[in-house]
Amino acid sequence: MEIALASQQSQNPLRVGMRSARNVAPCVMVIFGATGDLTHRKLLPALYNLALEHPLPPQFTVVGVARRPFSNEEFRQQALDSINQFSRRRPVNERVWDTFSKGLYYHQSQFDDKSGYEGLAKLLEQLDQERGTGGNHIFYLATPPSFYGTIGDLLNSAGLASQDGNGGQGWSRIIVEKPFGHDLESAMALNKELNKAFKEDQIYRIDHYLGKETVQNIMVLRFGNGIFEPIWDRRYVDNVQITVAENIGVDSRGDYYEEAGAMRDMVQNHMMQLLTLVAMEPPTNFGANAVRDEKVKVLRAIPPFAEAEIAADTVRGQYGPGMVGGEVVRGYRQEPGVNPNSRTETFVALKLAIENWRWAGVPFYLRTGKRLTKRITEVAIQFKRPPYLLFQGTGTDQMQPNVLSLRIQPNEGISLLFEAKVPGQEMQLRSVNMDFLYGSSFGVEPPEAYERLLLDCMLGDSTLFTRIDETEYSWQLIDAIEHAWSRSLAAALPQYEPGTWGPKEADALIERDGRTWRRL
Amino acid sequence: MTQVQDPFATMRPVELGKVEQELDNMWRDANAHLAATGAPAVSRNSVLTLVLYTTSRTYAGHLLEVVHTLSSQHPSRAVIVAADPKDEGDEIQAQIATFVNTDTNSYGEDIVLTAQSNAIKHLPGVVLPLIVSGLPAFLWWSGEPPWGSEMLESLIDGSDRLIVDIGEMTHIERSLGALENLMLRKAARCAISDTSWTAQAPWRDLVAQFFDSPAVLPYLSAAERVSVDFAAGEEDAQENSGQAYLFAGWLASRLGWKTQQTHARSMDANRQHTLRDTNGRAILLEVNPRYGVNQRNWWEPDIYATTFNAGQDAPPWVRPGALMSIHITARLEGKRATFTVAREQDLAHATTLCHIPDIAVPSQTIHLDSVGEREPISEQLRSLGHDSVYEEALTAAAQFVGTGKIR
Ligand SMILES: NC(=O)c1ccc[n+]([C@@H]2O[C@H](COP(=O)([O-])OP(=O)(O)OC[C@H]3O[C@@H](n4cnc5c(N)ncnc54)[C@H](OP(=O)(O)O)[C@@H]3O)[C@@H](O)[C@H]2O)c1
Repeated sequence: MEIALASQQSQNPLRVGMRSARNVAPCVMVIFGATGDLTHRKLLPALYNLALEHPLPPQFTVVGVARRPFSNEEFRQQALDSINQFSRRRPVNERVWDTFSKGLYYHQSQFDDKSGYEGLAKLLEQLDQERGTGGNHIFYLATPPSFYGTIGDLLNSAGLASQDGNGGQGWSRIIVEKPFGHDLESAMALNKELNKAFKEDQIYRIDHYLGKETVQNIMVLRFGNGIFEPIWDRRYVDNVQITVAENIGVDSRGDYYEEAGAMRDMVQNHMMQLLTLVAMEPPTNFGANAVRDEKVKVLRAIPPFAEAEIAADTVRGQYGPGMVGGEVVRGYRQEPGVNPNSRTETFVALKLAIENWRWAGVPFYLRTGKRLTKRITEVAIQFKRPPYLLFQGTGTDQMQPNVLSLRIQPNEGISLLFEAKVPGQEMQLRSVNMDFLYGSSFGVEPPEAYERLLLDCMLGDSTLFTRIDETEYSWQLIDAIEHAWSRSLAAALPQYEPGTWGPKEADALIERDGRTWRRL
Repeated sequence: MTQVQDPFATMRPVELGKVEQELDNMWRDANAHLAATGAPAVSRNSVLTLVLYTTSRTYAGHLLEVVHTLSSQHPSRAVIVAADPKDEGDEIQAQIATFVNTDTNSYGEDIVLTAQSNAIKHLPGVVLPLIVSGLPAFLWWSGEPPWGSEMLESLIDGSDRLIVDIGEMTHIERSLGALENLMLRKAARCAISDTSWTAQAPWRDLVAQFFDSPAVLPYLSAAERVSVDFAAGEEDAQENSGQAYLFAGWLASRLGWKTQQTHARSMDANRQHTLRDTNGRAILLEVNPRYGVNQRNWWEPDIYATTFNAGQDAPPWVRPGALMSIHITARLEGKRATFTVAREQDLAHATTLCHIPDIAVPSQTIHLDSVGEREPISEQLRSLGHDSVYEEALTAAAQFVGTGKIR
């Protein structure tokens, strides 16, 4: 991958010293599922924002593929609506839209219709000529995962999948969305299907958390500063807490959520990404494979749960009916699309260990859920208490441990909690919070995660995408828990009051170790 | 005529020797007030010192507004110097304020120094001690610096980066030469940069983009003629070709084009230069004014919006001397190709157009504001150290106008 990146560097002498020294090669992005929700809310607005702020090459072209009989014009109209509704740069800039929209095309096809792919191949060949896209194709599967295999196969038979596109010219890449499987077995099967047509380095698995500025900043904070790395280990760190809390319920996504649950929806992907970024060793470079190698090592160092540990170290829960902000809200089992006897969890708390030199003995506590107190995503590193004998008897034995907290959303920033003396004759200590807030932005408004990820894929940089072994190791871990849960059907699935921090069992999980969850 | 308000009316006047002490007090008071209301304390942290020099208190007021918009990204101490040589007297007065905007998470502290004519030469002794130790110091000079003055030299010596704007200068031949000279002399301690250079970034990007494709790249070394048009006001008004030359300097320095002699004819607005590439092939460079374009400083407030009915669209404008179009003609093995980037009538967009035999390239329109043409200072504060591409472009530009050293 690093080599691929290097070859992206331009031969163009005018690019020397430019911010965008990595320039996007002209290409076509083919979106399967182009009339769906993801395309509407995220992809088209993101592509437009890129065109507006980061001039994509003029040749850049989008081909939307779906069932309904749209004309190019209708697809363009839909794209315009998407942008005007969801772009952070809305309303659309008409002059920019004029040129951008000329590159939008629609191709009607069933995902499993071979002739549709032959038509697609012809269209791409024509566009490569007319718009100068040189056989560079990205296939974005914004489709139900059950279609990944079929689409891969049929792209392959239409000659569209090979590493170097048409007749040795250009490249092809494929982007797939979450969920990538619903357990290890299905993830491996899915991958096997994709691998028939695409090599691993052509496959870009999206986890949009990795596109967030503040998630990337975890690496910068750790490896761009000299002061954190030396204390980032078991000698100084007492425990690490990762919270991904949502205050909303499942809304209209009950059907989907029933199949997933908090474990598959959040822990397997986003939380594991946060965990690995916080815990990994410094990579030898920031190339795609070096970073992902280190992340995988973390996953491998998490010992699989023994059945007995699962009862002690995992808690799940489901939100019941109640009131939030003065409004009556439904319980999970009453949500549309949800089985009234559902055993799907909407809350998970876990205690994980990472058995390596750096982290031996340091517990990682994870919690995530819907209908919790507030929407917040945070990684908190709690440091060990100093030997506070020194200040005993002065009312200071209540000293708080130092905490470095990395807030991912909202109010992105970093804060450090430390103790200071209250001015006066008494030895009185007080916790002080030193806060560094990223401004509301580091530009105008931070780019959306999808913008960054789409751009990286166009550039052939897969650092911020999930590699197959990352996916597999994290499924392995999740599977063990899911199996144990499903075996003990009678096992507790406590209901929790909406607007709280989850079931009291979650508090017990951490309090047993003499610790508490951070009050957020 | 409405009375012009003092832009610093709300700031606290302090004795020059007590600026630091009074700022400490202000932060303490502010935090005590917050603590009393139960709000969390704000921390007084900064990532840089920005010293801003201008010759008018009114401008200083406008520029301070700009500085505040930067403070969410660059929490800073701003030292604003308003030194009007026409304001006779011997005094330097100081005013201070802290700045907290919890909505935008931005904070900073401001020190305004107003210097009268005879005191201007003493400014370094007042300004330099106010630079926060250990953090980068930026010296942002609005208008034409007093080349060669000791005051200027001392302020530069105390800074890591000098930021100027060639678009605000009045005598381009002299200014480009003087800047280049400064750049060479100060290379070891202070880097030089130009907000006009940053504002041109989208233009450089668009021109570079033409040649990204390997099939088109060969046309770049087959260029025969380059014309750069810049914005100018009325025909008899002062014009500013600085940005046009900087752009031409960039192209030439990247491609190894050198000038043999200059034909800068001050009476004639059309400037033509014959350049030679490393093989001795000739390239004609033309720099032309485009008259009748509405221009204003990017940091000035929208007078139109405040003076006339709100809701009415302000007339479009550009920075003084801004790029209006770039046109490159090339001939490769007898095939002629043209590459154009032109600002649109609305002044806010630019459209690319190229004709290359046998190669299709769709044209593209970009919104220049969205890619950073108008607000270039934030980008400047992001980088420390030398920008060698800029420096080489400046050297070439100074050579074109005949004031640079031919090397
Ligand atoms: N929506 C989100 O915010 C979101 C977030 C993260 C991940 N994802 C993932 O992204 C994928 C797409 O989600 P979505 O919400 O966009 O789905 P969706 O709204 O249901 O859209 C499905 C799209 O696929 C097309 N389609 C379905 N079956 C087809 C067939 N047999 N042949 C041709 N076209 C067919 C539909 O076309 P017609 O309309 O023409 O029938 C439509 O364009 C899923 O894997 C989902 O898990 C979505």
